[in-house]
Amino acid sequence: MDDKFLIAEKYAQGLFSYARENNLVDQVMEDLFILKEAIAHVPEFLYWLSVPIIQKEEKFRFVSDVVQALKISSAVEWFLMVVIDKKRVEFLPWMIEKFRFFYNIYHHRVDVKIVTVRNLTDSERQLFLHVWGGYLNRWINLVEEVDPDLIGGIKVYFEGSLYDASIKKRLELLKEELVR
Amino acid sequence: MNVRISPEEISSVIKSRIESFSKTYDLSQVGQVLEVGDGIARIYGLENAMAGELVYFPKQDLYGMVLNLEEESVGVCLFGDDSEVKEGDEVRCTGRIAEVPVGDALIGRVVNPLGIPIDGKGEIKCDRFRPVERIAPGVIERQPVKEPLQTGIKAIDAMIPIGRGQRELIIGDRQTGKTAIVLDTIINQKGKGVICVYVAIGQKNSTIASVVKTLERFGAMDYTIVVAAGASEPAPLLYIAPYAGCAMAEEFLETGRHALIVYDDLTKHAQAYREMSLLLRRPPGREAYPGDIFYAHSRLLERACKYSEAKGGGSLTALPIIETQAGDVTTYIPTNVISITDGQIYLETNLFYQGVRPAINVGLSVSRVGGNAQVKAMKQVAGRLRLDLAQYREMESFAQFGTELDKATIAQLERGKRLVELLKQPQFQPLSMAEEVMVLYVGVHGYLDDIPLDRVKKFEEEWLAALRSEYKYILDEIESKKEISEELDEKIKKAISEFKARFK
Repeated sequence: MDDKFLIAEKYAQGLFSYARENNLVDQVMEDLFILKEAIAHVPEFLYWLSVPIIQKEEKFRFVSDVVQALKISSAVEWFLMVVIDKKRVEFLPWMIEKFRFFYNIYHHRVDVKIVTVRNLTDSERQLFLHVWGGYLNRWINLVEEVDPDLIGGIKVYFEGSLYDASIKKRLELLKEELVR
Repeated sequence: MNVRISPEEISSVIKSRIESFSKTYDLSQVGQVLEVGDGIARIYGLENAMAGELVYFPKQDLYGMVLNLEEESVGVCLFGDDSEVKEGDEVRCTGRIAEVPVGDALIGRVVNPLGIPIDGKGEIKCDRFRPVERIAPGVIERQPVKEPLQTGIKAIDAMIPIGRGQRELIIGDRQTGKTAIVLDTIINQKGKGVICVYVAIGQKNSTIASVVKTLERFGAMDYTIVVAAGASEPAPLLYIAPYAGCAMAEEFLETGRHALIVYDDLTKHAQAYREMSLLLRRPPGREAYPGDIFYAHSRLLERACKYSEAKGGGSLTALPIIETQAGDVTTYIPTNVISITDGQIYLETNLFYQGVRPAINVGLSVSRVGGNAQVKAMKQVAGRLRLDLAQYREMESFAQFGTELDKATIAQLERGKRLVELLKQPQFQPLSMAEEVMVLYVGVHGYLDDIPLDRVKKFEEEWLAALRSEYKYILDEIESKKEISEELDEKIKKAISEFKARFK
């Protein structure tokens, strides 16, 4: 049993229920995204909030300043204070991931990453969203990545699966076939 | 006939295969590495991963095996260097379970537990694979052990006989000659149609090299596969080594042949599994071993069997080795393996240093099923031998008190001493079944009673030389008829009398 995920899920579920009851789901998601970016850019942020040597009140004041600077809603500010109070700051990135998971279900959305050899044109993007939206039967949150190593074709990551229709993969499969 | 193929023909074959290649995409499960260390990785995702499934790390070209299935992640043991694996790296399911190459091409080679050659003799061309784990054959597919597996060691073949398809544990402290016994057994299989697999688990690479060299010296590598998982290998490789070796041996079993597999040793296998289990955060049990350590060994040893005639009549004999600490067989792993196997050969340090080599404690050693496989000729001499030795051991303890002994007791003691002397055997000198019978015959029939104790060895050597030259017909008859008839008994007695008359 992995405690990290279970704890993160409980907190994310709590925040999501609150956001839904108060009609703040989109706002909270946006704020959490900003927070995630901030954590990625300043890793010391989490460390500072989790070290026991710093007083809780000091951490609360720091969070208030950060929230004001980042223009984050008070719902997320209170959530952060609860997390600090319960000494669960180290699980914050997982809580954001879990919240996103609930958010996607709520909005009937799915995260999809597409890897191509060059940037997609608008028409290609629209075609992809149309075809894959129909296939997955949900709205797509698309993340694009460029990798020239693919030679051609596409790679699509969705819900823990990889659809690999790249030339690189086809050559690998052909090599296996010929060796056999 | 010389067949000539032009390059154009080869090109056209390749072209047609490329044209017929229709796979346009690949759909696989992917996950990300959460944490990695000590040969264990925790992977986020891989929701449909199966227990025991192979997973692939494309960035490092590395494979791992799924061991723990948890709610949000899976625990994977890595079959290689984990230093290149980083948090967030991609991991893919393969849909396959761990398997190893099998077949005759492996014979004479030294491979690692994944079947990759490590002897520098080039690639091994195997066209067949077998899963490392499989369910052991059931009751219907088996038949009782009935054919002997000759070790070439007098003490074992006479008193602790091993049958083909049996599991006989070899247990003892360090430096008591455990490996020596199995090496002698492997060397003795020459020309007997038994293919041997020696699985070295957690041993020093220098030790493995010397074992291979010994086997080569005696021409035993011609029918032996060595599966080496040295002490420097990560714990997951040590863990799968016996299962991989067993899969290789099973190929011979399935094709109606006879195989012998040696696990040297299962103590280190248990320790490797304990290390992995603790790193996977499985709850520790007695001596910190995981709860399923008994199952890990029982499912491995249960794969040894004698197939029924309908299944081809092949056999797989297992000789697991367990190393004890200070002769204590009551610790967790030894008691487990003792209860799984069909008997044990118990080696003692005291006997070893008294010069009794092989240092087998015949009182504590037992073979539960091998008696059925023993040839009649051996039974005819071994029955008396066991009895004489048992009486000797009993009286020996009385004699130590310095009490005055009657004539019969003294005779019994003297007989016992000579039998113990007779059962000593140098390493790498296995005897044939008929030779063993004839050597023991002189002991149990009292022909040594008037030979001084220090001359018993010389008597044995010269008696063997005489048997191999002028009395060869006796050996031949025992080998062919497998019993000592009354007529042959007379011939033997006459031959011994003649020999004794000229022995100085």
